[in-house]
Amino acid sequence: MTPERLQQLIESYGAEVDRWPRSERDAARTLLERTPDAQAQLRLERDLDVVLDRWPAPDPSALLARRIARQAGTVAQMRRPDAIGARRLLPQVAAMAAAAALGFFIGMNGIVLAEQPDNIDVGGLVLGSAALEAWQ
Amino acid sequence: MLQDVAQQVGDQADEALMARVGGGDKLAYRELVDRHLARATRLAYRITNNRSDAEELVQEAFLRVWTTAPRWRVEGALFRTWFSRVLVNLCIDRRRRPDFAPLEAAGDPPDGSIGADQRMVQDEEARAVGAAVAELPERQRAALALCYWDEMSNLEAAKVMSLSVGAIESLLVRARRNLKARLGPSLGRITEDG
Repeated sequence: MTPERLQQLIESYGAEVDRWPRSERDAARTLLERTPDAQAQLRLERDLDVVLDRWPAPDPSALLARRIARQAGTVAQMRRPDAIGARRLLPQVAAMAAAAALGFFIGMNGIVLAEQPDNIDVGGLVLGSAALEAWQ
Repeated sequence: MLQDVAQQVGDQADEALMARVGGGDKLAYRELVDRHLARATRLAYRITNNRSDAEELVQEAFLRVWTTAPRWRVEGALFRTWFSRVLVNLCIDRRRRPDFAPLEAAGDPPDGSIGADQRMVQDEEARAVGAAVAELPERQRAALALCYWDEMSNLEAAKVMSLSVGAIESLLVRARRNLKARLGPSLGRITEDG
C-alpha cells in the first residue's frame, strides 16, 4: 500500500473503509493510522458520504410489480432453435438443396445442347440421366 | 464473510430461478422479480433521478429477463451482474434522449415523525443532491450508483459497465470531485445541521 493508492481509495470509495476493496483494507488501515494528510482527506470525504447517504430513493410502486408480472402472460419468450427443431427442418433443407442442384444441372446441360446441336454427347446425356435419378 | 456467503447463496438461487423462467415458469419469474425489484428500482432512480422513468426502465429490464431467459446461459455471467448491465444500459440510453426530465423529487410519503421545518430542510437537501448527481456525466453517475448506493464490488461494477477496475475507480474519483465542487457551499452546512 502506497500513500498514492491510499489517496485513490479515499477519493474513489469515500471515508468508510468497509466500502473499500476487501483485499486492500487491512494495509490501507495501517497506513491511514500514520498518515495525517490521509486522515484529513478522509474527513472531507465523510462530509460527502453523509449527504449521499441521506439522498432518498423511492421504493417501487405497488403497481409496478403487477405490471411486470403481467408481462409474463402476454409476451412470448425467445427460444433457441433446439436440436429436435433442427432435425425436423432437415428434410426440407435437403429437398431445397437437391432442387437447386437439379436446376443447375439441367440448366448447364440445356446450354450445352443449345450451343452445340450437332455434337450431342449421348453418353453424357445417359450419365446425366443417371445422375438425375441419383439426385431424386 | 457472511455477506459473501449470503451473496453466493443468492446467486445460486437466481440461477435456479432463471433456469425455471427459461422453461416458461411464471411463478419463478415472479419470485425473481420480487427478489430484485426494490434494488433495481433504486438503482434506476439513482441514475435517472426520475421515478417514472426508473419504473419504466425496470419494467423493460424485467421484460428482457422473461424474453431472453431460455437463452440466458449463453451470456455466461451471474444473473445479478447481467441484469444490472441490462438495466444500467437502459438507464444510460434513456438519459441520452432529449426529452429526459432531469429533476424530480423522490416522491416519498411525508415522514410523520419530523416537523415541517425539518422536512423542508431534508427536501431541500435531497433536491440539491439530486440536482448535483443529475449533472454528472452518465457513466460517472452509473459507477457511483453501482459502487456507492448499490454497494457492488469494484470488480462486479467493472463487469456491469464493461470497463476495467481502474476505469471504474477513475469514474468514481471524478464523480466525487464533481459532487464536492457542486455541493461545496452547502456541504459543510448540511453535515453540520445533521
